[in-house]
Amino acid sequence: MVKKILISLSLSLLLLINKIDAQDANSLMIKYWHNSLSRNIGVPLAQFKLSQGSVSVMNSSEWMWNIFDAISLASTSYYYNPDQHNSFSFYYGSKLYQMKIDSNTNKDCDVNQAILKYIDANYQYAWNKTIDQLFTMLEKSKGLTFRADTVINQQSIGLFQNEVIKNLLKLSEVKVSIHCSFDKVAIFEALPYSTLDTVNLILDQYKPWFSYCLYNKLFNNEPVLKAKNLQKQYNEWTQTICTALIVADGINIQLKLESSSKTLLDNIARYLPVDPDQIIRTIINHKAVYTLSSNTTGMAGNPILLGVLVVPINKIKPN
Amino acid sequence: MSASSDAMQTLNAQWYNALVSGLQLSNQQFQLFQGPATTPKTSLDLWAMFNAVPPNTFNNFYDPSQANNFASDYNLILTSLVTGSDNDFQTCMGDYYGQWMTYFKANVPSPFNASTVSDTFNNWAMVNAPGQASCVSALTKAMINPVMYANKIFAAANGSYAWSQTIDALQTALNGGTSKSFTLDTSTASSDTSHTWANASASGAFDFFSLGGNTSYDNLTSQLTSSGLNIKASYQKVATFYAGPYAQTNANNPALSSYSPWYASSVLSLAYTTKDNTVWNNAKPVTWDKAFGSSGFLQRMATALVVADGIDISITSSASFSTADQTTIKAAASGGFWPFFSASGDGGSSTSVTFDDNGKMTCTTSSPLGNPQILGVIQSPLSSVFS
Repeated sequence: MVKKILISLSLSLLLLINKIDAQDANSLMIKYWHNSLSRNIGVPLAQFKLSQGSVSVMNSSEWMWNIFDAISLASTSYYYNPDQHNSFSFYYGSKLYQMKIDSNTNKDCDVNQAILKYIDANYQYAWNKTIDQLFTMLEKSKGLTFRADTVINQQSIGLFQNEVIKNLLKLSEVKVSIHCSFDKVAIFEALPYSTLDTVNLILDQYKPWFSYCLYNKLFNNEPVLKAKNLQKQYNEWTQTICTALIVADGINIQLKLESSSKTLLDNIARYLPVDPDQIIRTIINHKAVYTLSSNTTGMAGNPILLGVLVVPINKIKPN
Repeated sequence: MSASSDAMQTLNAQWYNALVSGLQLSNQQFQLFQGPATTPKTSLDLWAMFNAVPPNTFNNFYDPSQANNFASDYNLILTSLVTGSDNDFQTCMGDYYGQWMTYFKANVPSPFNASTVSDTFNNWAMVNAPGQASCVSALTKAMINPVMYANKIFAAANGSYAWSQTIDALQTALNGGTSKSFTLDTSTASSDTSHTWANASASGAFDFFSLGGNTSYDNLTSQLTSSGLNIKASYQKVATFYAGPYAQTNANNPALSSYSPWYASSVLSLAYTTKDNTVWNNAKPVTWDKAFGSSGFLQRMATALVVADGIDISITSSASFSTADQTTIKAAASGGFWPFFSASGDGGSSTSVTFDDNGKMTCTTSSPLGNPQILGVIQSPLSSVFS
């Protein structure tokens, strides 16, 4: 009788522990990938945002500047919001327009000079680096190889110490192994164009438009703007801007899943970039082990934007 | 809703979840595109997709002629805003304003620009009103009045609204894209889209067959979907393609040379973040609520396109079809099947249907490289972009 009850409980538990929410598994994987990439590349976790899908690096400085110029709100998402409807360059211009007349003129930080500088750029707002510099940096950069292993499982139920139950709990695990290699990886920083660069043939065609000292005045306690709406001002400061592109070339990412439960593996795999029809069964130490692998590759010479670093807009500082 | 419509809603939801996972997209932003008009051939086709305001559904049967587009909405908003009086300079100058205007009219600088006007004022003020010298910034900043500038460039665009990237750039992006493949088994896949950005809201259902619309196709759709489908999708190239409304002249792109910038983001930001009559003209019919409210015409924008090229989709059904049904289905193949509805021959695509001895169907749609297909759009609500 006791044995029957135990078997019944075990079966119920087996059914329960196999019901790991597969979409939660996908969310766990994204979080894990975000953490692994941030740690191994060596960028701050809080600033790092993943690209959605595969983003090719284009051969155009304007393409790159549009990314640096884009403002979006701070978000807890691991993904970068690539929206380009809100430009920092136009935001800066609107702040110049709102500035109060300053009777204490400071030659080193003059409002009128900042306005003239902005107008002189004629609505073409460059950043202080060009796409050639990105490719040069990438060419000179080192490669990166790392492996990241984790386990996806349901939280321990914690009610039983029975070995049978413990073994059943192990069936709820899917071991995940990511083997990642990049031939080249670079962290490419750029800032708003503020000082004329006569050496760079592309930038020499553009006019500097940004004044750091004027911009910093917005974020200290000086009442530099006409409208006194502090709440609106604080809300604006929650906006973020991209300060660096994380670029990789020659990409090979292998994802391997392993579990003692084919059902669980099949269930989880449908929410991950693997093909459940390719499950391989092997016998290890007299026990069946199921594995599933996938490979994502990007050819060398076709760099990909892995992600970006974002900071609040009041944290923009010159190098 | 009919049983076949319900079945297609479920199938679309499963397809959405599979795409999001298979292509590593965010279900907080991705919207599925479907329909026969998802293959852009020109920059105008491409810009029409970016211009289309995404509906509040996780899937969209894309109609290039849809009425609600970003440029039109933006114009409605522009024309409803207060321009601003730019009277800061006059206020600052006080009693000296008249003297300055008399002098200025007799000494208009040439060329006339912010720098020469500034120099003219500085030279006059140094002699005549040194205490008003700091008023110069109020004079020059009038030339960067955001609302006036925005109205000026929108009018100058003369109905031609470009985006920052062109069709050539799309092809370049795809050339560098990665290959992706995934499988969908409808008997086990989740159709739960409740935690997506659209909260499970879906667009009107449509048939599995693009030539659908009558009872016989409804029955076939029901039979197909109820028995379960195994779908294998492979894309030789996939890329996420960013672009924004054309705001800054790009002299280095010849394809954009015949277009002028038309968009000023600071004005849309101003309109969205300020609801009162310091920004909105009360005499105009368009209000903040009509534009951005819960039923507003502009709540979200197309941010990026997810594009694929070199596509192979194989759909195997567990249903057994009669000989007569097999004939009907084969005839429908020419019009294209879900999920792309690409007619055979359109852009080089081909659709073939075969049946085994038990009447079980395998349908294969292939589109060779060089025929990019938009899988979906990454959309952003205005609330995630402006604050």
